[in-house]
Amino acid sequence: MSKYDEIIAVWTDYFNKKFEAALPLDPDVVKALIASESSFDPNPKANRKIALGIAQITKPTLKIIQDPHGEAKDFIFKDIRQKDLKDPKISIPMAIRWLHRKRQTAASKLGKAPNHEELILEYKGLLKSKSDYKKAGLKKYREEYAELKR
Amino acid sequence: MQSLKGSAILAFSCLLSWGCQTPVPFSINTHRAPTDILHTIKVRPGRVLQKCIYLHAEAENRWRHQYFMYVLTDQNEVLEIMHATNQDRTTCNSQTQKINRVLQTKQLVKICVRDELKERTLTTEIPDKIINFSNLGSHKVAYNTLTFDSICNNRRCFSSNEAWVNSCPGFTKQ
Repeated sequence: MSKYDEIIAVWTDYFNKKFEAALPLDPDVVKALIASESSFDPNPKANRKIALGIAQITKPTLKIIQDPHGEAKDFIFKDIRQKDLKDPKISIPMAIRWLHRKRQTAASKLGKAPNHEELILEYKGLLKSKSDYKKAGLKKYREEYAELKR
Repeated sequence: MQSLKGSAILAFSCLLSWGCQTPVPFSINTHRAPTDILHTIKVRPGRVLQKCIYLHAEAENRWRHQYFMYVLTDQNEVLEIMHATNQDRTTCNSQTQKINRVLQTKQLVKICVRDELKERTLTTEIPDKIINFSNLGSHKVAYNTLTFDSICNNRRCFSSNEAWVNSCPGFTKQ
């Protein structure tokens, strides 16, 4: 049980409805993702020049999800600054919105709907990585997800 | 006289065989915390290796690196330990340098790690992993990957657990 459970549940439900998701996104996927990105630290010191906040949203991603002509134009955020990503109330909905976009990009790479682990690999940019170590990027996610489903 | 000579030879060969079998200073103690399994490893610094691995992620994720630590046990099996989250290159290299400073000691270092110590089951997805410890030889990773928490020598510590919450017994901020 984390203090962000409610905000995750509300925004997951909101975007599932907004995008009329045939397979709704599971809030536990979001929670396990956040645990694997930041261990729920809203403002991690590491990686600050590149990725920010509880969901480690990168600066390029922040741009994409605010670009009215970009790949996420079907739902964009407005006037979000980098420093706002330290606030989980802002970065959690952005991460969930980005997960819906990543579901589309993963589906086009795989030629099928991604399962939850493939979706997380795509969020981390590792779905098509040839690194022998890419599954290491899933270790914490798998553990947290298994714990949530126990 | 003859028997004295015999015992001297026996004592010498015992000494020799004991010398050849000096136990490697290594120990691992498991602690079961309410939500975690923790292990304290005590080992000579020369049996610890570190690596920052680039994960070859795509697009906006090209920053992702994974920190790994490898510890060679007294049985010459390798324990693979990783940082829980991905790091950019600068953060990962800085962690490696800070831990190197902890490893600059002639005494044993103690390392706190999390997760169950489970033998590695090899599959096509998880092939054998061999780690080269230079003069100590190349050895197999024998267990599933553990998660790094902290490392200390007798003077300083480094922890990825900044709050020092639920760490191994005896590990405190220094």
